[in-house]
Amino acid sequence: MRPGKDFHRRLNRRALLFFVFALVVVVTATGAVVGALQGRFLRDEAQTRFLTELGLLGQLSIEPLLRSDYTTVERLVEAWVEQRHDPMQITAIAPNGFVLASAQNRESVENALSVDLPVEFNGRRLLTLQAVTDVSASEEAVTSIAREVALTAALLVALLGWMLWGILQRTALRPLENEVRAREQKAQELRQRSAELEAALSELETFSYSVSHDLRAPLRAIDGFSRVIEEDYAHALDAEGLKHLARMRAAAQRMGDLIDDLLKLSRTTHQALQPVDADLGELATESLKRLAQEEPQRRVDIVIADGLAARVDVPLMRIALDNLLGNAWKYTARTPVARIEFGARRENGETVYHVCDNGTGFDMRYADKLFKPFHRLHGSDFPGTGIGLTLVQRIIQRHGGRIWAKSAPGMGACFHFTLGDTPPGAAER
Amino acid sequence: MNACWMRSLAALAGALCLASPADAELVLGVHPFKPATRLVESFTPLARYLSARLGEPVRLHVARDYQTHLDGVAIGRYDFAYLGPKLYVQLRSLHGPRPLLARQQIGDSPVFHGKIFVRADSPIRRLADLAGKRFAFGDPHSTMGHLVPRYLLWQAGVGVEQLASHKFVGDHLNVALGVLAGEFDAGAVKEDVFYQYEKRGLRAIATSPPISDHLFVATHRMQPEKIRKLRALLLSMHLDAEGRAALQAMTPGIHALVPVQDSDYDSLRAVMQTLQALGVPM
Repeated sequence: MRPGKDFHRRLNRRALLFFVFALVVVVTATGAVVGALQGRFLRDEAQTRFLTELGLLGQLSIEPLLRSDYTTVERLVEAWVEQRHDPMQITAIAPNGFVLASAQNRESVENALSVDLPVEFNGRRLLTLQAVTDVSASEEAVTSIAREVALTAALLVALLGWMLWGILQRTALRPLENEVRAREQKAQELRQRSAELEAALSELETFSYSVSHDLRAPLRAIDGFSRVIEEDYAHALDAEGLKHLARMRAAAQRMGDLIDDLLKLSRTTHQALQPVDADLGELATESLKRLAQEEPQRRVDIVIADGLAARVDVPLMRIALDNLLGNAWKYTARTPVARIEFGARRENGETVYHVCDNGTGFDMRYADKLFKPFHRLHGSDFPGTGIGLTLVQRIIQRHGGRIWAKSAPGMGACFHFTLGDTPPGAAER
Repeated sequence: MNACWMRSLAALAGALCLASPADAELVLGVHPFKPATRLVESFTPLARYLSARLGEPVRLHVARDYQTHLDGVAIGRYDFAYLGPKLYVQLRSLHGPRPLLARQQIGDSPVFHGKIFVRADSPIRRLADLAGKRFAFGDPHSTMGHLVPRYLLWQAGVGVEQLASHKFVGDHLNVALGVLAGEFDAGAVKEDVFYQYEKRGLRAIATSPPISDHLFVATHRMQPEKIRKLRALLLSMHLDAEGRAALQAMTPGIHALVPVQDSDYDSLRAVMQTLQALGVPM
């Protein structure tokens, strides 16, 4: 069943979705790497800033401490913590361990960075600032950045995907669809023509059959009445008259043979193939046996190879072998020690069969006329209608094979043929 | 001669202040016995309460130091002022009487005490042990931050010259913190500040005799009618909830503002005279 237009469209959409998904993954991964780097930078920066500001608090504390103005230091510490957004705790400890001030803007501080900063003046320790801060603020910033990157990436990719889809539709899909439509139209036309041809062939076959059948009736009348004249009125004719009568009967006989061959050729071309496993050697033996019965006086050396098995339409292949072997039989009639050989060999991966004889042979210059109907290379020297090899070629071709011949005058002839592994058109008509 | 010159200068300045458009508001002066920020927080409810009841705005002014505050009251830079006992005695001594408004009463009695203290882990047990030690006073003009404890030290036979060192660190809180931080071996503050810091590691080694507590005085700048009205208002503050809240904000534990007279400060006056005789500058 031919996939429809919707199927292709779905397939394209699926491919595009996969592409967009891959792009999102790549962009998100890039965002994560950038976020991690940014996170490290922010953490370092936050740490540096915190230490700098804590140092500043220490510096600001020196002056009031030297004036024993402890309440100012208390207020400085409290105000410093209150003003900060990052979670932190700070304790100002006097040199004797007394906790002068303690302030915090959160109950607990996680992801803590602890710093002990001594506040000194002229080499004398005035105070120690113990601070704990939360560096997770930078991690939150990183998470926020990662979220923004992912969102932006998704939006961008979706936008790009949408644009790409548009471009793809304009540049590729629509022309392709048009092409597919045109081809479908042509296929439809071809199917229609094929149907017409089939109808015409059927008509032709019917015509051929009826023509052959209709021609046979007057032919039978000519032959029949000629025989009646020959039998009942032979005394009324002189020798010359009888001779003409005999020629007339021979011509009628020959015309009957021609009509038979034509009908055979027509059937061979249009008859449905019924391939089965068969032994071609056996078919050849039967064929030669029939020939020998017709001319028992002939002595011919026959060589048939073993194991010539093939999958063929037996009635058709019998006709083909009858013709090939019949030709070999016919054209070795004048050869003192006649010899006919049927065999096969493997060549370039296929089985090549051959039927060879040591008969009259033919001139290869006329080889192209061998398989044309009604062309006879030996004229009336040998009997025949000129249809046989045409018939053979059609049968071989219907089996998916090909046929060719090699010969030289007086040197015999070899007909080679192949058979397709599975004859094409086995189920066709 | 010098005091006379000062009085003239103060009178001149007072006249200049009177000439200023002071009628638009009442100014309440407070001496810096605590950090200014805390004083503003503590006294703002009182100022608002008085503004609402008197029908005119009351603005708070915290003086830079005790001396400046004293001068401010003397020359009438404020309309009325909150004073420590020592400042009042000095004001009266240097500049003559001023209209008294009310004094504060913490607990049952309108008097307060001072404490001389050391760190809880200190080996010092008696005042006499302070010889050779470092001592922290508050402001030189502070009653319990300087004068009374100095008097007590003198009584115990420890003059400042017997101390290893002494330093005026401003307000009472710095005295407590300075001792706790180990900068000083001992210090002196008024009792409510001591109790505030006691649990952080202080131990009292002496308590002063009772001294009449802080008070409000009016300056010459204020009209008698307004003085009467203000005095009546201050003395009745504890009778309504808003007034009590304002008083509590001013000084935790305060019960009420009660009537005051000059003789309430006679005991302090005697202490100061003794110290003056010993050459302690006032």
